[in-house]
Amino acid sequence: MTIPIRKISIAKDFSKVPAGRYAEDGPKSGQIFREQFLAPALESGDSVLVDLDGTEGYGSSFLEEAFGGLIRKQRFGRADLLSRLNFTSAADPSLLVEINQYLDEATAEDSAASDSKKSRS
Amino acid sequence: MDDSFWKGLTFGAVAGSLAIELIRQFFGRVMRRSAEKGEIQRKLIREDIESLASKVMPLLSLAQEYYGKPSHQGKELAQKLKADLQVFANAWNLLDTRIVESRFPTIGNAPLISFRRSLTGLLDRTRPNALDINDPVAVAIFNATAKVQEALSKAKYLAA
Repeated sequence: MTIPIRKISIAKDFSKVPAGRYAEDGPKSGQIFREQFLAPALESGDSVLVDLDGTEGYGSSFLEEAFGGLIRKQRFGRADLLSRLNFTSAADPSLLVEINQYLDEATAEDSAASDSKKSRS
Repeated sequence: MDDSFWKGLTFGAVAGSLAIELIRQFFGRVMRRSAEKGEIQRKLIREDIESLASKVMPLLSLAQEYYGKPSHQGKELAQKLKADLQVFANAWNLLDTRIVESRFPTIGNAPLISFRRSLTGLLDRTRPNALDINDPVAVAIFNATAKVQEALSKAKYLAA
């Protein structure tokens, strides 16, 4: 059985000028993108392809919160994201490497937090 | 042996040495052209690296201008910084592809990613004052800028 692929274009579906980390930073922040677009698409069980092209640039805080937040806040597993979440950027492939860094860092942060919780209990 | 044998032998020897000379000249020309082409290619790559390197300091200045004032005064600067970084990243990726196609060692994108991460680390976050020069974000910006310049200098040296 093949899992349907849902495509999300940040520029077309969300904003050409994504900006900020948290909702209080503005309506086009990484948190809002994650909560309103990315997480619901992944929660539906579909595979998700995020198209990063067409915007007027990204700040690292937007990218970290949108993607790293999937692990830190939405409790998605790294393995699940590896199998169902894909990115594309013809204009700047280095963005894909950067996002994977955020996912790896969020995973490490998350497991360090759960290890310290275990050692306290 | 008759006369025609010696004539044939002489003709064969002359034709043979002529053919060898023609082949030598042909390969000599091919090698020279290939060396000239290689030199032109290296020169173009070095020029492109220089051109990309010349964009690093303007990006740093833009970041300094943005972080040098409270965030609410720098919304346009923040957007310009993101857009200029995107253009820079695009040029970096294209240049690196050409470098690899020309069989020089890749610059890689690690310095580019650190540079972008540091420059945009606090972008769009509410900040009532200018960023202190000793703030870790400011320090990270200077370090990442130095690494980008170092990577481009190294690439230029290797393409010489």
